[in-house]
Amino acid sequence: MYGYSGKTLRVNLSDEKVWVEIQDEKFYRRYLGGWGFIAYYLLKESKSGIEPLSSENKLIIAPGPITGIPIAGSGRNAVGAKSPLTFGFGASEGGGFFGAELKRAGFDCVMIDGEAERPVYLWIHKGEGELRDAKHLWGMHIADSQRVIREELGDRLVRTSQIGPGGESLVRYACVINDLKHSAGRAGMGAVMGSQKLKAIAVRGRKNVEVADPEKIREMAKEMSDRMRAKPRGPGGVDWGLGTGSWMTAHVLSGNLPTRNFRDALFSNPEAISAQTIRDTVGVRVEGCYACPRPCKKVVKVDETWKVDPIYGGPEYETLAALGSNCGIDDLKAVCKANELCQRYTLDTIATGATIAFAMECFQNGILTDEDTGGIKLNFGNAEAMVKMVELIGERSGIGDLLAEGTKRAAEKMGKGAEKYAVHVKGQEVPMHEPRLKRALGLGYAISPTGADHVHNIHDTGFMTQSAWDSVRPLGILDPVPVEDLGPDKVRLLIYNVYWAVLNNCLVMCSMIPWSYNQKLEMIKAVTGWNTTSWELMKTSERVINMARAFNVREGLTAKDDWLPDRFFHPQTSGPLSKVAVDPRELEEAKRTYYRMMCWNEETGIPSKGKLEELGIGWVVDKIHS
Amino acid sequence: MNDKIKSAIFDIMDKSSSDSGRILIEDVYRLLKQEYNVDRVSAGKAIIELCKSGEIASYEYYYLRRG
Repeated sequence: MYGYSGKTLRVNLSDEKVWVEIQDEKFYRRYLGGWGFIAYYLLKESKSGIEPLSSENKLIIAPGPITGIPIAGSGRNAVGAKSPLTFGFGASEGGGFFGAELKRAGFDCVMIDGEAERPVYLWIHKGEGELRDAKHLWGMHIADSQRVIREELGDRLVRTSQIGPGGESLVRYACVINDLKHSAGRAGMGAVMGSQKLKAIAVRGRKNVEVADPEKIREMAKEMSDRMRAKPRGPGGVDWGLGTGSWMTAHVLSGNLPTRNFRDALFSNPEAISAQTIRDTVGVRVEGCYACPRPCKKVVKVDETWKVDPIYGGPEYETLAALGSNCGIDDLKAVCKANELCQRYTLDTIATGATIAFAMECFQNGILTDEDTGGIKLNFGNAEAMVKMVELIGERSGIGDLLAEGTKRAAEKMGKGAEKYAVHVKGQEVPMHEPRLKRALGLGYAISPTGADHVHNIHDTGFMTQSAWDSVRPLGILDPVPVEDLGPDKVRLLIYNVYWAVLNNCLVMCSMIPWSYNQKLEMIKAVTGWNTTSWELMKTSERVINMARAFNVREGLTAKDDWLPDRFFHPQTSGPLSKVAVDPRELEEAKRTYYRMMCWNEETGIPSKGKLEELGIGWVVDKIHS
Repeated sequence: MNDKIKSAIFDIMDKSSSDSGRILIEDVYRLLKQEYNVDRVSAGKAIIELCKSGEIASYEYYYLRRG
């Protein structure tokens, strides 16, 4: 078998047992990796109706067949569990080096059950896993715990995937961070790890992942490397090497930059928080992930006012918008500090920023008072208050304890109409892209099995050029559809995009590398040696999407949960979208169209027996059809 | 808004826009720095103000044109 070792490392923390499970090639070909493994294990092995932050949840660390191969985009792994935010399918992906190291250590997946009696970390090396005491690491920020782990293991090349105090104290949107800087940010996977009392996974691998056609992989790696170095400019003429956050002015002018809790528009100082300004002021370098020829991860350092340690990297677009414009803040150094704190505590920067913005709007409307905030003036634009809030959330201290629950639960506890300011889908905070502008993205937010997500989704504004439409012709999309359209042609485009994005989450590859559909197919063939086709890959993705859907159905989520928050049914207060809102009737119709196209019941959104059987997952039928 | 920055933006748009009247936002920033030594943050604020007043407008996401 190529691209896989055939081994899953199984860990039961309650019994302190660690063992290796062997999977056959059919399993890999059917579920591929990443999201596929997560959906499989959650449906097969987790009990229905469990509390996500309990010993009954399963944490799955899943790279994919491409992870660890020396080719651009191969440094990622997925992390999955039942989400403490949505109580449904939880999955998130992170980059760096950890995933590749895990594959090089001989494992395709790590599956962790139970709850340790005392804090532990998992040490994976030489084809085996070992649980080690982590009592002395509990409470540490992750740079400190990584340093101690490397000292203990006597190897500075050990790679880590960790939680900080935010995960330990079960902040519902705590994340898991690879190599101090690369977050598997969404879905609250860090809280699940915290509930298991698992501080970290440390890994050291020394074996190359065997591939079927190494010459082809070398050729493809070189071609992409040459291409990325030769064409340093991305869309809009910006430098590829700046990473995300390079189009702030364009976002503002189109109404796409979330401002003051998605309420306002025309953020007056967009370039104060842009990637270009980071480069020109606080940026010290850009770093890359495993095998990447074009590093794009910012590293920042601030010495005055807010002291920011470069060891924790720097903010990406989502962070700049969530902790910046969405909180009405244009103080770049404060945003960098808040980002650093999120890394230290392992908090999802999107959810953290969105929750603080929600609290600011509640404060403005008298739902939260000085008494609630401990005297902090939680106004939009108050950078000091925003940074303080991140710290309080990470510590679950004062009002931070309430905000650590996320917008949905905090609003329910607060009452007084706070719900209308909570911008989430299924309990997961909405990322920094505007559904009043990008209509199909909004539908994607509503239907996503993880709650609102911008990666396994579509960005309508990405389809404004002929070259963008040319790129989807191989999928059979032959006619352009307007940005503002939400008819069947757009829904079809969304579905096909989601298929490819979820395939990416199974492989688990970086979406920033411009591999074409055909190149990905060639790559999978060269890695695995399978005589596969785009047809088979699309079916695999469809299978995994249906499994994630089935998991949510089993857990009690319904078609009602496939909906957008109230905010998007009202226009922005100014700017290009001041007369534009999502039309609930149009959204409902598009949702039904989506269900029909997926062969899900038009009313309930439940996958049909026939579809599950056609996808070769008849075993899922009993889990959702009584 | 600083009138010097405003006139520099118009000057660049008039000189460097394509036949269809559009210019990449990124090119506006580059030329403002290169030809007028206007920093990006100040230029960004001015562009937003000009868009608010309708004197320039966003076009195909990454471009600007006269309003």
